[in-house]
Amino acid sequence: MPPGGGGPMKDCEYSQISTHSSSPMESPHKKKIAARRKWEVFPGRNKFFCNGRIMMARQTGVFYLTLILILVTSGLFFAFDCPYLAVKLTPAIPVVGGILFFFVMGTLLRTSFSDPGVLPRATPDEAADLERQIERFDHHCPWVGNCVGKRNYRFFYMFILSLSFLTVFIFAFVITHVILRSQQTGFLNALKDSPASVLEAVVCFFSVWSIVGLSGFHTYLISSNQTTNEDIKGSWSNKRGKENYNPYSYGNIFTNCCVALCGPVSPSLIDRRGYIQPDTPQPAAPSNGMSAYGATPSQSDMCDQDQCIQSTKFVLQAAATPLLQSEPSLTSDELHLPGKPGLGTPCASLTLGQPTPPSSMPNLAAEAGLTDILPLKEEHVGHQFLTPEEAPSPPRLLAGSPLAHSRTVHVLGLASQDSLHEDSVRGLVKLSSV
Amino acid sequence: MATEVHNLQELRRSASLATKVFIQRDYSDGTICQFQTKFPPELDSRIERQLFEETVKTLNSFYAEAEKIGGSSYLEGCLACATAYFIFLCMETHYEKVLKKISRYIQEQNEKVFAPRGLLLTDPVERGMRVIEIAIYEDRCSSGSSSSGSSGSGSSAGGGGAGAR
Repeated sequence: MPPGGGGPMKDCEYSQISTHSSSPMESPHKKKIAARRKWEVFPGRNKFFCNGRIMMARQTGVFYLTLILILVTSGLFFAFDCPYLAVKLTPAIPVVGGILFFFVMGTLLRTSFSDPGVLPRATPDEAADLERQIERFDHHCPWVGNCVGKRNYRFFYMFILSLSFLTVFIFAFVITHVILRSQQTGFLNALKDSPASVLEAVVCFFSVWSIVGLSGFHTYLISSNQTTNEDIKGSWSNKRGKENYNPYSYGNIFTNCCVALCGPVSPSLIDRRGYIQPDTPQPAAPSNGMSAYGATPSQSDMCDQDQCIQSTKFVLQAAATPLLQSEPSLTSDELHLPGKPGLGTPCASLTLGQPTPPSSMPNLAAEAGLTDILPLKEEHVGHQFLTPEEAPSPPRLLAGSPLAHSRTVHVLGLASQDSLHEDSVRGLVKLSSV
Repeated sequence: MATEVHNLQELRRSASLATKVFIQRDYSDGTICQFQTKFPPELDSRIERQLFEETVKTLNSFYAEAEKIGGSSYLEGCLACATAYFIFLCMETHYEKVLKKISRYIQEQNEKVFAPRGLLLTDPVERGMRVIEIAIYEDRCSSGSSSSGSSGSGSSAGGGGAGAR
């Protein structure tokens, strides 16, 4: 369907190509070896299971503990207490318990296995030092073995809420069971008859305080549309200044709750089950330069925190140097700020320079602050070069200055650009073996 | 219009990538997914301003629809919550449905509008929803034309003017 051209038509051989930008059919055809999926070369410290369907943080030990505690306690409850209570009181008890249990397990698995909102990275240079960056990062929860971010926050909240109910439920009915039995046979005999109840009571007693407290805390966070990270750092607190307010809040509690829990579920941006396309210029971790801070999934480990702080300094230096180097530029930390007042403060939570005290919150990565990426940072594709005046300075310095220009690429040259793409893809693949 | 006739089929084989333009996100309205409609200068000679803007505006409207917070999204959220999110195993979310619409739209735009002009849009979802990547292709076999497609004759952009050529 040639549009009319003014000049002479070139006599070219046109061959058919696919219009689809990424198709799994192509890569196995083009490569002699088996096509690899993107999760296999994902540059971040994550674990993948079930061929990329399940994504978790690196340390999953505590998650198994959580699973065992819940399964064992609930199992004991259904096996030992429910028969007695169903007969003595009402069969509704095991039914309600069953529903709660089902809810808890469903939400736990969803929270643990889903992508929290990881933002794709671009250049291979970052991958070595930095962890992943997560949209609307809340915190890393070792109990679920994953970070909690935008995409799985509602699952996490429903999990702790339903777990609160389940814990209270089991605790209450275990006590009831023991009391009813002791009315018949005396207290000590009752304990002897159902030893499981004792165990359950102990587990529940200790869990109730923390779980219910956590639920309450997150209810507060949701209603004010803050993340744990922001709350702990006091990003939107009045103590920082009279003008400080939370720009993400919708103003009323009901809307905030609805948005957090019932808002649209954004898709995973990392396409972990997609196939790697080596022939098209596409890095294994889909595209564009991310800025560089990561939330280490492992927290209280000082080494990780130090490493992350150093890596962010490294990025700062790299970002500050004028580009036009032979290798793909590191992520620029430019912050594309909405042009609203008071949005200088989002930068505060994003700052690189601010040393977040690692000791204060062991279960938060020290760099956690760095990963709260609202508003999303601008990223640049690896091969994109910035003119010196556009070379980014650390986001803190950009606070309050809205950058509203579109970023067009000043490409070095055709040949170098293509080879850079090749390099970045190979580099990324190589790094995965590190 | 460009003198070289471009068909989507030949772009990747016989054309070589000249440069890429990135349409960045527009955060002036907050963090919702929106792309800037400012016309990049590199495309000046390749495509009409209006066509480009229309494409970006349509994409923006799709994303707004996907992210819309209202009755139906609440209903979906509540239903999903009530089933402990198991329902997501069976049905796809509203957002995913809109994303499919978007990718069909981009495909169609590529075939009808962009490829004939030697351009190719990449779906933003493949770039982490950060940019709309527009690849500008040179025609390899146009040995005579040294250049950027707009070469010489290139007044591809019918845009204004009359093709004074």
